[in-house]
Amino acid sequence: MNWMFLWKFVFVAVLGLFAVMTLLTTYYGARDVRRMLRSLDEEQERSDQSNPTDDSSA
Amino acid sequence: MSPEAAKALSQTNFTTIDTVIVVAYLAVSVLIGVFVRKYATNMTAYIGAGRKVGTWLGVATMLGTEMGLITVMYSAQKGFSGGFAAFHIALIAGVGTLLVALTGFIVVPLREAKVLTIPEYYEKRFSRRTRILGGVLLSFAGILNMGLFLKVGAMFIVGATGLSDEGWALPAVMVTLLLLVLVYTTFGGMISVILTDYIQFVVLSIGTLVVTGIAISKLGWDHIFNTVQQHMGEAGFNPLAEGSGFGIYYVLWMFISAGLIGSAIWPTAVSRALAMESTAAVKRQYLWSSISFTVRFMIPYFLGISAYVYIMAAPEGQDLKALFFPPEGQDSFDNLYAMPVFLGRLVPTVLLGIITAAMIAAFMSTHDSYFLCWSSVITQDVIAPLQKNGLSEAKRIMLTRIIVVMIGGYVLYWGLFYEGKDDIWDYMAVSGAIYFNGAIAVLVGGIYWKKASTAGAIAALLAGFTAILGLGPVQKLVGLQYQKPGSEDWEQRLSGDQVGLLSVLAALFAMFVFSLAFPDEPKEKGDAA
Repeated sequence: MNWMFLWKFVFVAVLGLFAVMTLLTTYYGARDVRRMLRSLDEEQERSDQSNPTDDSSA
Repeated sequence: MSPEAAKALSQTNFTTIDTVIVVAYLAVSVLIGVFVRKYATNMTAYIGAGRKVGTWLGVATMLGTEMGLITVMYSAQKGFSGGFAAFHIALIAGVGTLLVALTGFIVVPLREAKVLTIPEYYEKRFSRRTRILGGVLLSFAGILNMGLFLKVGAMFIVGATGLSDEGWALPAVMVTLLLLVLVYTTFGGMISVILTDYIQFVVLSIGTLVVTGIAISKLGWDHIFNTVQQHMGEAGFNPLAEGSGFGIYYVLWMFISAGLIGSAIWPTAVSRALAMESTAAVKRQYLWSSISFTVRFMIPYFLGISAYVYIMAAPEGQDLKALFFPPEGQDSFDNLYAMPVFLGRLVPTVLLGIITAAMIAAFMSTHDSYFLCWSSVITQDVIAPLQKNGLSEAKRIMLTRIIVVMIGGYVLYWGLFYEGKDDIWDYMAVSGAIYFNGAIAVLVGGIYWKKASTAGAIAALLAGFTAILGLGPVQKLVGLQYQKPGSEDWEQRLSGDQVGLLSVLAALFAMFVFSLAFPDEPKEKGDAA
């Protein structure tokens, strides 16, 4: 087995896949951040409305 | 240190502009922690981000956590000393994560169980005693495991900024970094951790790709491989070759620790799966993360190898050769510094500031996740189950925050005083094994074997604890390492990887035998928590 060739091939393939993954994750990850914060905001509003005197906030 | 050595280590492209970039980046991270504090009103939100993390954010935060500065440093050290042969660990990690993605092994059943921590599952499946014991062992191993994070992270910063010959620099950087992490972890919990992980992912991913490109362009693609071939021979590429420093037991141990454990059982990775919005999202997260689990090792290995080539074969690196490869009989400089010193010389100003900021962010994101993970285990799985009347949400969050600060104090102490000589990666694999060797048996048995019992689970957890015998100082204490008369060198009866493999087998055996010998009584309805 030619180990040098194997590692050259694996390294180039992994770097290529990682570059694609970085672009996708950067773009769609930003969308997920917005969704998560919106969802947490909504949950907090519901919680405030259902229990306005709750003092369990950290 | 000689004036020549001090001069060699102080050469760096890091300037005032880079300092401004680093400070601005850190300020943003702390502000995020303060900003999201309003969301951390219950434990699900504080330690599980309300289970509202989408696939792509999950992928980002997985890499953000698992590609910490400690990973970059110990991987670079492995690449520097082991050459391309170290790549086998990265490949195993990636394939292991891919298999978990395709099968949902362990992580999907855990997510379906809607638990916040792994010991919580122990209670659902076995008993409260199992949860408490599991929580104690997990937090002990986890906290021990992160003992060197702070010191090694600080070593990168002083190395890249040319301060490694200044005695005051290392402890000062350690204290500053620790304070920063403590502030935003205690404020925002998992939500701030995930947001900063995302920013870190973007900066670090692009940054490491660019730096890798610079290293290849400066040193030459073929020249890097040929230099390793010339100086290390077959052992620089084949992990099974004699003199590679790895060998068959090591590779087998990596299949368990880096392949299976790293993705499916290690709590900080699993906690990301538990925070996902659905089990389908968990599988997608792991599918993409199989690439990042490979990269998180492979790129740092490559940077370590590049540092080796720079020192051995580049004219500009010749002043470092005497430091890292001194004549026989002289002490060599800690090779953990090789990669940061190399980057400090290779990467141009401004980009060096961005990379340093990203590395510090990597350091912080790993620390915050680990602090949060271990402190929440202690709160949720050890202290709360021991309270007869339970603990309110507010008290749990307060307690978790206090424990975060206490762990911070320990990490500072351990970084300053631990004197083990293990490779950092080997130290981490062994200390982590104290928990995960038993956890493999308990989780696999609990999820996939109906006859697994509480007695089997407790016996497996205790059997897994024997992995502690793989740590250098413990080996010396119990005689697994010894000195021959008239020699100062230490001989090993069993290496850390051999101890780890035996310990896994012992845990699986204990789970099997004790479950059959002491089966559980049939549970009454509503017995489980």
